Amino acid sequence: MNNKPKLPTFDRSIFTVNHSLNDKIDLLTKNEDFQENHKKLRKILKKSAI
Amino acid sequence: MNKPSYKIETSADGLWYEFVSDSQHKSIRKGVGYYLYEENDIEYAELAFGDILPNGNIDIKAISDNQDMVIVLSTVIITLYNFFELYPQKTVVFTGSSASRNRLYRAIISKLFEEGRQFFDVSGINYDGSKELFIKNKDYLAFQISLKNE
Repeated sequence: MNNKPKLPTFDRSIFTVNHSLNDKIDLLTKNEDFQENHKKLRKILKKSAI
Repeated sequence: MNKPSYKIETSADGLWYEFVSDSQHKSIRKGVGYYLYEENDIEYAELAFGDILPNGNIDIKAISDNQDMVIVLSTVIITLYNFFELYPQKTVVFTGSSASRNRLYRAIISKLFEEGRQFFDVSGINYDGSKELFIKNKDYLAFQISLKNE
């Protein structure tokens, strides 16, 4: 049985790696609006798992 | 997927994407982030989307209305495709920071659902906490996407 997820085809040529973006995800985690939203989402997911 | 989309810059790990929303009115730098975390043995990636501010931070509450919604939605969906190529076992989740942002997310999911339902399991989480397969045009509190297994 092959459980490998199937992927859609898309144009990879539109992507360019920019190493100056590498720390942006860490910046996101310091964003207060994101932190608030993250807490809200975790509560929603916890409730939906019950 | 061959819909018009913007050129995308990405971090090396594929967790952060930026592109420029361009119209006759203005150019706005947009960011899409996938924040990885684990809970109850499920590997989640929380999607965040917003405008990039001059200081490099992201405003996830921004409503820019730059008359290019279709291209922006297609571009965000392509970041999802790329993300799942790199992280096929993750479950992408998100909720809007406001009702209008949730409507935007619903539009993204509707478009994804139209174009890629054969690839993705898409669920909506209702306001009472119940989860169901996504129904187009229905209002949800949060959304969940994972790749289908072959």
